[in-house]
Amino acid sequence: MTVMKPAMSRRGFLASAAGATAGFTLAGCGDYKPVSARAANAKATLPTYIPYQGVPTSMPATADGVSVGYEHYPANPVKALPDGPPAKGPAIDIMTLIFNPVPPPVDSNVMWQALNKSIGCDLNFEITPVADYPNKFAVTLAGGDLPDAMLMLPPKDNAAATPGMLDALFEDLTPHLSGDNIRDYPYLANIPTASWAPCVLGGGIYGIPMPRPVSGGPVFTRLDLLKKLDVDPNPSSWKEYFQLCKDVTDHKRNQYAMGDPITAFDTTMQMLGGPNKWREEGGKFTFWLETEEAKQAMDAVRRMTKAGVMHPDAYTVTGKVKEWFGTGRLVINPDGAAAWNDYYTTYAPAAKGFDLGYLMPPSWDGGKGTYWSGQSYYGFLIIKKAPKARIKQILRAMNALAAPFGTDSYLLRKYGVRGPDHTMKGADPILTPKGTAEVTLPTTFATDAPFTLYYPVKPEIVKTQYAFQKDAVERLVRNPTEALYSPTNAKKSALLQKTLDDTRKGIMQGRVPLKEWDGVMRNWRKEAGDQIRVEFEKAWETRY
Amino acid sequence: MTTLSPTHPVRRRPPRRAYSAIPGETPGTSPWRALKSLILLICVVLVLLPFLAIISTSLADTAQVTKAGGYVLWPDNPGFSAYSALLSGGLVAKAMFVSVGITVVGTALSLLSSISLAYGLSRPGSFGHKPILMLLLMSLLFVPGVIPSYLMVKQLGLINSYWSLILPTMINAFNVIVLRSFFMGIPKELIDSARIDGASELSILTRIVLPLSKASVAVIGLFYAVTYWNAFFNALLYINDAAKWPMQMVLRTYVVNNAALSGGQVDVAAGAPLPPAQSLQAAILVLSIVPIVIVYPFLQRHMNKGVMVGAVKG
Repeated sequence: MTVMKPAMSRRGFLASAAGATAGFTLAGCGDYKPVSARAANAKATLPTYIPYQGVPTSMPATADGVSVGYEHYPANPVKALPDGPPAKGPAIDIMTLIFNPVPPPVDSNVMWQALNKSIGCDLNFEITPVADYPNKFAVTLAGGDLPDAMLMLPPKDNAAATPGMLDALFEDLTPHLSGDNIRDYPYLANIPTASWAPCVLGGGIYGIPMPRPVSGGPVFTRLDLLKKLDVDPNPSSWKEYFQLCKDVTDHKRNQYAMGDPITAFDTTMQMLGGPNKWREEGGKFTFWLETEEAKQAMDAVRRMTKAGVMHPDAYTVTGKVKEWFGTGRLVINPDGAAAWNDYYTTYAPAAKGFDLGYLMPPSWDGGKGTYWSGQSYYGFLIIKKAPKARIKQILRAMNALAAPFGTDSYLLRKYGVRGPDHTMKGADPILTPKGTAEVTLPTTFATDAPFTLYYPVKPEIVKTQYAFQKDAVERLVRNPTEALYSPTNAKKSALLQKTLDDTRKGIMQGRVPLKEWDGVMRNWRKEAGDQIRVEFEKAWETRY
Repeated sequence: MTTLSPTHPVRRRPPRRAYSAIPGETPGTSPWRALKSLILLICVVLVLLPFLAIISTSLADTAQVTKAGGYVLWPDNPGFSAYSALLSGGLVAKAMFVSVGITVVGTALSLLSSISLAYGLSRPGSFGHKPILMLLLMSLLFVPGVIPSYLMVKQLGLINSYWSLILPTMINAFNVIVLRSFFMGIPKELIDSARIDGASELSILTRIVLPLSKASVAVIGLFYAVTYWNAFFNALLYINDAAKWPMQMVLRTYVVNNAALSGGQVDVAAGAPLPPAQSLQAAILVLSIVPIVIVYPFLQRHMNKGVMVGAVKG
């Protein structure tokens, strides 16, 4: 009798499986050389800021970060590209993300066709929904088949974005953009310096920013509801603010003051003069959540929760706050700068008398509070290594995509082609349904002109928006780490922050005692916090 | 004249018992039955209510959704603005066509390959039986990560090709194992007799095995079809051209849009507002489930039989 030998022994099988697994894992890793915090934060000469002044306004942009405002579009838009299409040549593949529904494809999108014609080459947008972009970015890098340009989220949100990777795969744009070299690209020179600073990694300018206003977004209030209740919309201390929250809360009418404990915490921190993510004093860094102000703010929100002024689903439901605010379930809601127009567009048609105001956080004990700056860029566009002529062609195309408000190029990007995409109300374009679908082409997530205050449907709100920004920049507290790179922060901060947020919410909800917070912060310091701090301090020393 | 009495015994009706529609159920009194009916009715309403709310919300106008602050149970002024917003521009219609194509072609190829593989593996002594079975089982234990899968698809030159949505998921090891165990349960004598009659393996598979396995094949087919219909992640990774996206991927941008709006990052010029987010999401749900709802009744009979396969076979 013969004994049948198994085709593969158990050990052989396990060894093969382990080998295959290791092979797959390694295949997914980039072997870019690690860069120290000092080298990663080496300086580069930033582009000279040359503000565009082609379209006069009574609400100009200021050097400290107020955005330019316009009540109406110029009747005769300035020709942005007087010498014709600036980037004639082969098509440019751009991988980027989208927040909106995806636009119709180029063959049925007149706005996209007109844009390609005006630029002189085909812009092939490879679009990914925002939530999925980090995955797409990582696999595209690993695959090695890179598009000509791709959006890179800030390293703190994107562990794959390392200086070593940039150095290995993407073009150092310093020779093209630093200092006065940017004069060749006047619309890119119109982007404020604050937005360029984070594009410097490893001593080179590696990207073109997608600028955002440094004043961030306001603490919105439903002015129409506040007027009905006849309450003072401008509290002058935390006590008055807390009273306002109580006054506007009406459980029977399902109406609450606020709906998100995290933004309620941020607002309170600004009243306390707390740091915007990190505080820098003489080169020493302090994390915002390890301050006494943080503990005081948590306790304040806990009191608000206990008083019933927070929406009952505030701690359990995410992504609904905007809708609660728009439909009058909430009266106060901090949100992004672009949300101002969005709220009117989405909710005003259905709510009679819908009106927005804003609340500047007062100081805790009375007087003027501080205001945290927003992130001055959303991400930046990195360009694959290529011959000099090709890089210049791509930069010229991006320069065209940054043409500012008041130009024909801006009108085309934001409002499409007159007729199919928009109709005119005086000098102002109003999008048609077709236009609304077509202009979602995410040019704004390649690069863009600096944020502009403009809302043709309700031009009178622009003055209020401008007044808010002027007030905000006067009391601005900036995040000192915005332009700095810390390898440990890039790798670990997202996971650590989740743990911190879970406990923070527990304390604010009243489930976890406040005294536990010190232990949580001790763990954070041990896990990575102290390492992140050292890296930021070194980076600060190198950069400034 | 004599009258003959019937020789056969008179059949008597058994005494009438309380009617029970469910075999094995003990008869009950009227109030008890009424209570049970009421409980069942409540269950049915609880199941149907979300469907009604979704369909109603998809048809409701902005004012009603805003007033309700969420979902509505019955639309006051029903309209199709959410559906026209989704279907305008032709993108969703094209994506629907792509999805149907991927589902039909993918399911056909998946069934073809899974049946062939399962039949081969169900016949002891077939060529490479054990190593192939081992490889199949290994794919259940060791799932390739996202990046290795991407590299493989890229090496095969399938990026931006519809085949990238079918080939990587064409064979599901679990489905093959289920089919194999069913095929193994078919009496060996049947197959032997067919072989004695001169039938080839292909004839045995198509004329003997498959007709006896309709229920299992229907269930596995439905599993594959639902997987292809719902898949979006492969499209996200492998399809760069949005014009080639299947429907789930396009619809996802509407859902993500709603979540992302709270970030205040949208820099859209003012114009015609989209219908309310809830209406759009509800319309997306309706559009997504329609094809499966249409197909399912035809497969339900097989489905009921087929799902028992795994339950009784060891």
